[in-house]
Parts: sequence; structure tokens; C-alpha cells
Amino acid sequence: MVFQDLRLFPHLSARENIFLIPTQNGAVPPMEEMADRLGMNAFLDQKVFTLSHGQRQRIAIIRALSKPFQLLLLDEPFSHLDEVNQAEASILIQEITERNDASLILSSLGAVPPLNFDHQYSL
Amino acid sequence: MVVSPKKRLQRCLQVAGPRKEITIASLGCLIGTTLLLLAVQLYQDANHYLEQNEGPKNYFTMNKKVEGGALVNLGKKDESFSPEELQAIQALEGVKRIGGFTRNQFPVTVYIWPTGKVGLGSAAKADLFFESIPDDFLDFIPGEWHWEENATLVPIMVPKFYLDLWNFGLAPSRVEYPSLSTEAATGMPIEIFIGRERTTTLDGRFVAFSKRINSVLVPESFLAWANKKFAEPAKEDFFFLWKDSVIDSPPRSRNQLLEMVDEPAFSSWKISPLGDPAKKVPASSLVGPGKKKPQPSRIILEIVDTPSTALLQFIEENHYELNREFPEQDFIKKALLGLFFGLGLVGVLLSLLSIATFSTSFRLMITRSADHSRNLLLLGFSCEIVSQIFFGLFLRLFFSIVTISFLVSQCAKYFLVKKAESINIYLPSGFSSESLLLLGFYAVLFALLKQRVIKKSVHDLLL
Repeated sequence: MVFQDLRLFPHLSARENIFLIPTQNGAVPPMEEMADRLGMNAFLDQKVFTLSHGQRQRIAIIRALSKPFQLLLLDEPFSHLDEVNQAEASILIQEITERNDASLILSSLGAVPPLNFDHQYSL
Repeated sequence: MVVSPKKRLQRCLQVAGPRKEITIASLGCLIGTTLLLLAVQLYQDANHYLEQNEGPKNYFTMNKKVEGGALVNLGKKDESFSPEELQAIQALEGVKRIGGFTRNQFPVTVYIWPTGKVGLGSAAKADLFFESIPDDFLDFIPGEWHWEENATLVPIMVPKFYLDLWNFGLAPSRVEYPSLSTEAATGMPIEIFIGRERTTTLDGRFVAFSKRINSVLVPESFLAWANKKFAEPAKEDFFFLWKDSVIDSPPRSRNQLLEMVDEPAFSSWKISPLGDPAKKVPASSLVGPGKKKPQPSRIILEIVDTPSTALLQFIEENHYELNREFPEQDFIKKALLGLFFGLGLVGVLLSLLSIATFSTSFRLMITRSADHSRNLLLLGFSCEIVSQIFFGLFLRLFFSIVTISFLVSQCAKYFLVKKAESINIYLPSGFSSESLLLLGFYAVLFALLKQRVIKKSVHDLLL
């Protein structure tokens, strides 16, 4: 799950936040690889409160993907990401969701993220 | 640096309680635990000491009340118990067994030589008495507690407090008398002079100090022999002997008359008291039951527990007196029990207050980190794991408090033991297994209570 308010621990580093989860998902690439794909490798050892909101969102996405899941809930996960980062994050999410044979529910304001949805609802 | 998952969880909760309240609670808990531990241990020590130094609870001596002044009592009113009276006492509720004191029937003077050698230094001289009781009633039978005719030494047993009287009363007031340890006191030679003219001298020695019997005791066999050999019959034990209505002078003692029982004409003879020659009774009346043997004027009773109401009423009705050795120890025991109970109560109250303050402080701590705790719960951590982080913090603090409390109590106990030693009271050092068990039980109970409070507070975050 990626919360709208992210629910990260600001006084811990990005890496510590990711490793904090009780059980790790075995069907995901290594954490550093995911961070690299989202352009976050250089920031892994920085305290979360020093990161921008967009960077925090990417850390929250990596943390959500690192947990074992069957249904991934994402509440406005890309609200502070540019298009390039949105695309990278979408590819990663798509790939890991498929690898985990899981479902995904995403809510977003504005443009639809580049993911393959079975259903889309506009409210 | 690798950080353990537990440490990471602690770090992410950023737990910090209200310092002032936690300090006050810790201090209260420290003082409460220390007082409680000391109260329990010191009560055990005091109890142990008193038990070691007191006469047993269930042994009493009984005698008839002595009334009137010296002039009245010079008439030697008979204060002994008759066989019927003894039987009635034995039959009372709660009386396990009774035994009679046999007393000496001859004058005794003793010279005690505290220097350990007869003739060296000054002797403590005293007109004394001897008593004996059946060996079963002694609190212990010393190895030398045997006497046979022609034995060189008469073993003597006196109450332990006689030695205390000597050491703390007589010896400090007289330069020629040294203080004596139990061992030194048992080595003192004692000269025993028998008779008004001190015609016979025997050697004696203290062989033991009794905590049960409040008398100067010698073996039964010795007193039986000495009474037979040296007894001076009392006036009332002399009679005129009437043979064929004529007084056969001189007056005869009871023992002399009893020796004549086998003479063929004995049954026809009569006797009368010296003071009242006209009051003639058959000489055979001397041989009746209970007449042969002098009856005890003091008896020792073993009773089941404390004296029963029936026994106390019987004593009151018959004008008897019941004595018990060292009764003031009851008061001391009660006072100590009250003191340590009070100390323990203050300890318990402080501990309860500290539990309450700790509970409030930890609730506040949990509320302060509520957001982080909720995040952990949403990340998939169970309530148990989140509670354990707070409980772990409490346990670390509590363990330190209990350890410090134990060390403080050890120091306090050490100084108390040293202080007690300076006044000749020897207490065991360290803590008994009972006290340590109680400390363990207290710590576990305290910790379980805290665990419950913490769990509940964390559960409340989910609501």
C-alpha cells in the first residue's frame, strides 16, 4: 500500500524505511536495483526529512513493492512525480505486480498513469 | 553499521517518556523495593535471632501462690501438690504432660571459682538450691548429664540468662570477676558444700545453660541420692511414737518410722505430731499412698500451644501461679513484627504509587509516539511487537531499579549486621532464599502489571 501521506518515518534513512517492513517480498529485484531504476540510489542513506516530496513518494513505492502482496493499493502515488519518473515507476509497478500475480488499484487526480488497467473509473 | 530489527523499531518509534514523571516513578520504585526487601529480610533475621534465644513457647512452670509475710511463711505451710491435684492438672485440656521438680532437702552453699582453679583469685559464694526434673523435660541432654554414686563431679545446669546476669551485671561491678564465655563458664570449678556445718564437699561444674528451665538443675539421680543421704527432716516430719499408750522417746522422723514398718507390732502403734501429742493416729497411716514420697511444690507443664481457657480458669480458681520464661520476648516479637510490617507496608505503598506513575508515564509515552506506532501497525507489525518495544524499554529501566535496590539493600544489611555485632547480636549476612524468591515474585508481578498496561495502551491506538 502507498498512502497518500506516505507514512514514512522522517528521522530514519530511506534505506531504513524500506527495510523496516516485517517480511520481505521474495519476488522483487534487489532494493538497490529498484532504487536505481527510480533514480533514488544516491539518496538511500539520506534521512527522509531531507528528501523532496517526489523522492519520498518513490521511496514509499519501493517500500510498498518490497512487501509481499496480492493486492496493491496506491493512493495518488505519482502526485509529485514528473512524467519521466511516473513512467519509470509505472513500469516497475507493472512488472512487479505481474511477477507477484497480484492485482492493483490506483487512484489518481488528472492524467491517467501509464499502466495497463482492466477497468478505469472516472469520478 | 548493521542495526538489529528491534533496535530499528525502537528508533522509528522515537520513544521518549516524560522524564520528570519517569524519574519520580523510578525513585519511588527504588525506595519501595528496597524497603520491602529489607523489611522481609530483617523480619526473618529478627525472628531467627529471637527463636534461637528464647525459651520454647509451650513449657510453663506452675506452683501454688505464696501468700502472707515472712512470719506466716516461717511456719512452713505445705505448698506441694497432692497426687489428686496433679491428676486434675494432667487431665486439663491442652496439657500434654507434667513433671515435678524435686528440690534439695539440705542446705547447699557453692563457691564458684571464675579463674578456673580452686583457691586462685576470688570465689563467688552463694547459698543455693538444687532442683531436678525428669530428663525428658530438658531442652537438651548434655553429654556429661549423668551422675552415679561416687562420681567425682556433679553436673549442674543453669538458665542461660544467669550467665548474662553474670556477664552484664555482676562481672562489670566487681573487678575480681571476669566476663565469661559459655565455654569459660563450663570450665569453672564449683565447690558444693552440703549441710549447715558444710560437713560434706563435692565438686561440681556447669555443663550446660538451659533456655527452657528457669532453675538450678542437677541430675535426678544425684538429688535422689543426696536427699536420702543429707536430708534434714522438717519439724512436721518428726512424731511421738506411742507403744501401748506410752510415748517411746525420743521423737522419730518419718524416715525412721518408715524403716520400722516391717516390725510385727507396727500396726498397733500410734503416732502424734510434736506440737500436738494428743492428736494420735495409727502409725500405719504414714504408709498410705503419696506419703512415702515428698510431693513436688513446683511442676513443669508441656502444653499443646498457648494455655487454654480451661487451664487459666483452673489456675485462677485454685490460686496457682503459671510462669513462663522470658515472656517479654512476646512483646519484642510483636513490636518487631509491627515495625517490619509498617516498613513493608510503606514499601508496598511506594511500589503501588510507582506502578501508577509508571503506568501514566508509559501511557503518555505511547500517546506521544501514536503516529509512529500506527504507521508500524499499518506496515503489518502486530500489536504484540509494538507493545514489546515499549515493554522492553520498561524492563531495562525496571531491571536497573531492582539491581540498584538489591545493592542498596545489601549495603544496608551489611551495616546493620556490623552494628548488631557491636552489641553482640549475630545476624546472618546476605539475603535468605525466601527474600530472594519474594523479590523475584514481586519483580515478575510488577512487570506483568506493566506489560498489561502497555498492551492495553497500544491496543487503544487501533480504536
